[in-house]
Amino acid sequence: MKIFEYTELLKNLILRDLRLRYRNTGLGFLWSLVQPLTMFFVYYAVFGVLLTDKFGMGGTTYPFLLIIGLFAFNFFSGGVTKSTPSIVQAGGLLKQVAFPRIVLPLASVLAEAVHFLMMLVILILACLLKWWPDHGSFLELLPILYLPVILFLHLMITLGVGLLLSTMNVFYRDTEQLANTFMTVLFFGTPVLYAPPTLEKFQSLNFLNEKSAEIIHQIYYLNPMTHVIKSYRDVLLDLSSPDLMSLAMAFGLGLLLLAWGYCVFMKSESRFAEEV
Amino acid sequence: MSSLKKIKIEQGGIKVSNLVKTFSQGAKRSFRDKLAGIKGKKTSFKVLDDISLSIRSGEIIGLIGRNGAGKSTFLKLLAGIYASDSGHIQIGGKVASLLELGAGFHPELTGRENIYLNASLLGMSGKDIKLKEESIFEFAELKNFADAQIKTYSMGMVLRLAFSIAIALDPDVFLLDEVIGVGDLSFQQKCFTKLNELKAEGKTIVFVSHNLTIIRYFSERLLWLEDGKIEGFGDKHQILDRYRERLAVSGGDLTRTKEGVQRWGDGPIAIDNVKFLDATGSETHLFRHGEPMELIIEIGSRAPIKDSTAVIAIQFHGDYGQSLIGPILHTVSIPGDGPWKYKYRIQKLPFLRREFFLSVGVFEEGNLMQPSDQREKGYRFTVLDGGERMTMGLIDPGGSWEGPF
Repeated sequence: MKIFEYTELLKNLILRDLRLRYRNTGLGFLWSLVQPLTMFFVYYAVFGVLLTDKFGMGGTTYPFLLIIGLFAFNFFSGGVTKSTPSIVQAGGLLKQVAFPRIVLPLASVLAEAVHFLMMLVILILACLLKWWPDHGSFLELLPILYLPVILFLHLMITLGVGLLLSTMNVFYRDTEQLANTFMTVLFFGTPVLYAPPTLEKFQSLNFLNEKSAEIIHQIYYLNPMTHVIKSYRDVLLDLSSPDLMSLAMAFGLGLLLLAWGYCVFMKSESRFAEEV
Repeated sequence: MSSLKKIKIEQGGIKVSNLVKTFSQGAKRSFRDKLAGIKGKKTSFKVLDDISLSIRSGEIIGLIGRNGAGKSTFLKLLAGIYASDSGHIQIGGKVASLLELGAGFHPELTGRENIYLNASLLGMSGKDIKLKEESIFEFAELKNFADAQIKTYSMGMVLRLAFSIAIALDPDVFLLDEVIGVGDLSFQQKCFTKLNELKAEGKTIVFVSHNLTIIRYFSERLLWLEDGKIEGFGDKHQILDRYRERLAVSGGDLTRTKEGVQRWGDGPIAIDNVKFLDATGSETHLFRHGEPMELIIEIGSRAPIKDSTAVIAIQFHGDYGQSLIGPILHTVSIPGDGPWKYKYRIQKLPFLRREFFLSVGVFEEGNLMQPSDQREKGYRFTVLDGGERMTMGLIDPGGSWEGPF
């Protein structure tokens, strides 16, 4: 694999991304915290405080549920929307130098991952904050060790979609717009602001009949991010081992996406320089 | 299969067989076309058509041809940036390319940060870059600008940095598109000195240039592409003569000197036309060393002129625009509105094969500061072979040797 000769390039591309984003700003790297935290407070104000009565989203655990969902989804959507245009944006570079093109979307996703690691520190702190008041033994914190596994699945899914869309964007420039729009839809179609609904929840909606409720329920759980967020919450919110079924689903779907994205990418790679 | 190829070819050697590359135009780009089932009128044309050649290690190959002949595409295929439609390319060892200036650099990053980015792009490891960082700045003469953002660099500085990084990669094959022309003369000199050193180490260099002087000095063999096919490949003198002839005959689309053609002055006396005549008295732009040349300068008027005198100035320039001979001033009488013709005859053309430019100006008598009409490097002619092979430079003064005494 030629990509391993290019780890230095990968490192430098990630550094470039991180350096450029906050260069010449007063707060610098802190900006990467400001935006997601602001989002959190806004959503909390709306769904945790103002609309609680109607939707039952309040409660003492809601802020924790929300912040985990938000941060985890942010990594996914950030990784995908940043990597989608990564090939096209590097147009001049592709025409000048031969290097494994895959480092471009990979670097975009990994730069987002660096941000997410910081978010993860905040999430762990939040988890400890919730655990502390009536804590028992430290062994209760053991499930946190599942985080690297979930993070790996999370990365697989994000990279898979990123590879797929960055390739598509070379041939159809509409892809970038499409990806941004799709992310908005997915934001609400994934349990970010709420806990994952059960089948009964879908069935209780009176405009759905038995059959369609079931189908929609199935489609809903075909979204690998649903399982990733669910697993993060299992670990950080409930301090329990993640549901194995969720991990398996996330892994299966993630592997599928990654393999698909990788194949599509490698098949078209040699044509990138002419098409951009 | 790829390992087999590497064994067959010597380090630094290049072997190309039956290379074909087509580009298609008008490929569909949006979902709308796709959804509407619009196939798009795909027209494809062959940029490179059945190219076969081999280059030994340690050669410096100059690549010439008119715009659109396929030179850049050929380099990009060699560099592995484009994939060929059919045919094979075998290259022994590491390839570095410097094809477009500034791509691979990010303007917001500093010189040092860009070295890391650009060198790793070329496949250098972090350890190697750290080791070579200082020597890169040294060769580029940019030590004091290492931590300044690239956007504050001049084009020449960017070139210096890019070239130094590519050199530091220690490639076996070095591909250069027309980028060196951006640097100042002393750095160009330095680049080519370095390239000659690399050549001595057995490295192979392929470079594109429209500057035939550079091509002539630094290459050994020339590859001439025309419409995607090899028009000539071999001894530079032979190929250059044929190439010049072709350019001169077709009116030539040689890139002009940087200064380009300029005309100024709005006095009453105007230059209507300037023609070059050869020994037979017919108009041409093509001459041979040592043959006669006649300049016919036609002068007319912008405003009514009475019987007066004027000064005609002519000056010869080399292909960089550097002044070679002149200005040669000559006072003439203008008997009225004209047009009038004036002739300047050179018995034996002292120029050696190259492109030359001619400036012509006319001045009202007593006012040599302000031309009435000036055509700066407005006329071009080409000198083909002739003269001694042993005489370099632009002009043969026609001296003779004697000795020993």
